[in-house]
Amino acid sequence: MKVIYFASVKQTIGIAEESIEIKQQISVNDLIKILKKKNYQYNLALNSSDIQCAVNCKFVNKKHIVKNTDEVAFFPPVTGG
Amino acid sequence: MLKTLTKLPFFHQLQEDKIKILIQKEKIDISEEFKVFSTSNKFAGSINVFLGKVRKKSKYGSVKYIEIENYEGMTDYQIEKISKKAKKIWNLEDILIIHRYGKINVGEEIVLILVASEHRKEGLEAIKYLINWLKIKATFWKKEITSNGDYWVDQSPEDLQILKS
Repeated sequence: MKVIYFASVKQTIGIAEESIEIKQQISVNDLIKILKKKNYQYNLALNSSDIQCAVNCKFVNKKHIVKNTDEVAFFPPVTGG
Repeated sequence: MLKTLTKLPFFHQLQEDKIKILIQKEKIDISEEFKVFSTSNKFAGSINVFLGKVRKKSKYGSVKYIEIENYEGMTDYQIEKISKKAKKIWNLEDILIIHRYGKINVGEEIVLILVASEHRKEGLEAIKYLINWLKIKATFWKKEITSNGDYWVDQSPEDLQILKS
């Protein structure tokens, strides 16, 4: 799947997007666990309970199930306007 | 999702719904936009305006400029959803939303919302709804470049309250 990061999450991790392969469908929560294990920066960026997730441009909760064809985005609360 | 007419700047016109959404880097020509909107809605009884600008002072210091990041594709989807809902609730005649991203200087406009309605009550309520929901659902992130460094802006307590309500 394509995983993309925005704003402070992108800045902390140090990359804008990456490709992640999963063997089976998993929850967003499990994906976060996998990503956090990558290194300290990922752990720091995704550790906050405020982090929001969108799958294919729609807001989802952490129980939402993702698959390899999805575009998954992680970001802090939005601050436009 | 509706068809995107041009790629950059993002341009979204729903003919049947009379909703226009623009996500752009360029400055907003306020007087021209207002003139065109007012002319094309000459029989509307009320036109309401919201204009969001870059403040000079923030809690982090004196602001030099801001940078707005945008999740292209999701932003317009969210704004379109919010606009369609507002149009239905208040039976609005027309909506224009222009939101900028990229570098924006102090004093410049960030967002322009124009709402045309038959009566002022509906328009005033709709414009408040649109800016409140845009601030918590449209995928933009603001970074302030200040005299004391660069800071990502946090969502305000008022906005968080709207999200919980």
